[in-house]
Amino acid sequence: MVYGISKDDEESHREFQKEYQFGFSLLADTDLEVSRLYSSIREDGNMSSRTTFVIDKAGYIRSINREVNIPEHGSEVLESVQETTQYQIRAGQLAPDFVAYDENNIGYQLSAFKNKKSVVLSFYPMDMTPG
Amino acid sequence: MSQIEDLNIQVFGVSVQDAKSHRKFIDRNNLNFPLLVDTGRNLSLLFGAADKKNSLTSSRMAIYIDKAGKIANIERKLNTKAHGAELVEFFQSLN
Repeated sequence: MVYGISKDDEESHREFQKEYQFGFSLLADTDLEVSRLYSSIREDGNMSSRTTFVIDKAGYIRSINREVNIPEHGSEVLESVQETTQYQIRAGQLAPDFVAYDENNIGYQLSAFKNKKSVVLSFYPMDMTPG
Repeated sequence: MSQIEDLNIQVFGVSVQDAKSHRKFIDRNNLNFPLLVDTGRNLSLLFGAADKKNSLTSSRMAIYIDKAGKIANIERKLNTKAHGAELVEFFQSLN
């Protein structure tokens, strides 16, 4: 989930969004509360400074980038997210638990199979392809 | 499939299509196992089946989880025709 954030208000964000169609939401930090909380504020105190925080699913800050290179920023963020939050699934480890729903909206929780059944998850690219 | 039942294996197919697409796929191919809906790619990402470059689908791979809940095998070279037989063989070898 990506958010842009600045002190501009909703109306200004809507205009900005209309022009650039970012594909992610812009948050209005008009009183600079969030910017202050993250120490992402310019010395004059009037504006946010340019910083990108990557926060993982557990809520931990994984990277802080204060030298945002605007044209490369998207791929940089992606890279840093992959580096910092990706974990490799390995044979021998406990399978992460999950809840998922099938084609009839029946829910399954992996841990419910423990000591009862083995489970095979067979991932495939598309319906209507073999397998 | 009976061998799969005998071995107490629950098989799930997983892909990013929705329930409607899955139902059609099951009907057309007479599949006798459920297909999990992973439209948000959560499962695919969790188990490393999401292809980073092609963000729209999952790659073909199978995760074998034993009764203790441990990942017993990660099969990335799936032979779609022999997949059923291969997984029977694998779980037989565990017993």
